[in-house]
Amino acid sequence: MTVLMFFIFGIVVLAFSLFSLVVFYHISRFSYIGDISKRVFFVFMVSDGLLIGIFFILMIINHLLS
Amino acid sequence: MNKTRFHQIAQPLFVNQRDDERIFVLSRRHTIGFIWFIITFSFLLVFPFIVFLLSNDTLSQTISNIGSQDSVYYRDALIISATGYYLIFSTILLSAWVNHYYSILIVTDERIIEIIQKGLFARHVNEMTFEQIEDVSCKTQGILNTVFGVGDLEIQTAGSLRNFSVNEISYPELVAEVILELSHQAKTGVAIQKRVPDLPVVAIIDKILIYKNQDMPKIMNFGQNLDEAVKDSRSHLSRKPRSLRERFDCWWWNTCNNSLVDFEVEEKRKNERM
Repeated sequence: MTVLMFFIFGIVVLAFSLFSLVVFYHISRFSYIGDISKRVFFVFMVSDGLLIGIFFILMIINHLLS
Repeated sequence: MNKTRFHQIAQPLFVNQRDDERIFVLSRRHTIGFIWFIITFSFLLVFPFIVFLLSNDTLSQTISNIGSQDSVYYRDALIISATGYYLIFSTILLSAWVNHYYSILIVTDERIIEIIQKGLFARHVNEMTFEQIEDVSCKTQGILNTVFGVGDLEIQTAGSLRNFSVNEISYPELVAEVILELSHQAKTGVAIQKRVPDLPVVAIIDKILIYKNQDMPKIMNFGQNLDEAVKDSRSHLSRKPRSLRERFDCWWWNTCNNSLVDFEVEEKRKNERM
C-alpha cells in the first residue's frame, strides 16, 4: 500500500513534468529577447518544485511517524 | 539599477520580419483582462483550506490519529490530492497566462499581424496589408476598462476578408489613429520605407508611447541595429555573466537553441549586401 501511494504520487509528478515540457517548448519557441515569459516560467518551475518537495517530505514524515 | 526595457533591445520581433521593417505598434492584452481570472484563482487557492475547516470532526480525528494504520493512508491520500490539486491549479494558471501573454497585435510600416494563442496547442497568425483596411473602430466599455484606459479594437476589411478584432489593449484610440494614418499613407502611394504616422504619438511599443521628436527605440528597426542585436543575443557568450539575471539569460539561451532568428545567418546576409 505504501509503495502504491508513492507510485500514485510519482504519476502525478510525472504528468506535471510532461506538461511543463510542453510549456517549456512554447516559451523557448515563442519568447522574445527581453520579454518576461522566461522569468515567469522559471518562477512557475521553482514554486511547483518546492511544492512537490514539501509534499514529498510530508509523505515521508507521515510514514516515519507511523 | 538601470534596468533594460524590452523596447531598448535591438531584436527581431517575429519570424519573417524584414531587416528594415519598422514596428509602430506592439500591443498585448492589458493585465486588467486577466484580473477576473486572478481573482477566481485566488479563491481556488484557499478553497481546500476552507473545505478542510468546514469538514466534520470525524474526518479530522481520523486524519490526526497518528497511531492508526488507516489514518496513514488517509493522510497519504490527502497529500496526493493536495499535490494534484495545486499542480493542476498552477498549470491552468500558467496556460491561461501563456494565452494572455502570447496574443499580440503588431503593426509595422507594411502590414498588421495578429497573433492569437488559443490554448497551448493552437496558435493563429493573421496578416493584413494597409490597403485592405476599410475602417478602424475602438470601444471602451466597463468601469475597470474606462479607469485603466483599456478598450477593444476592430479593424474592418474590404470584401469577404475577415475582420481583425483585438480585445482589451492599452491606448486603443492611439493604436486606431496610427493604423488609420498608415493606411491612409499606403493608399496614397507613400513608399513603405517613408511611412511614419504624422501624429504626436508615432508608436506604442508594449504600453510605452513613442513621441514624434523622441529617439526611436531599437526594437522599431532592428535591421539598423543589427550589430547590436547580435551583440545583445550573444553578450553572455563573450563575457562572464555578472548578475543573477544575466546568469539566468545565459543558461536560457544555451538551453534553447531554437531562438527565433539565426543571427549568424542575418549577419552574413548583411555583409553580403555591403
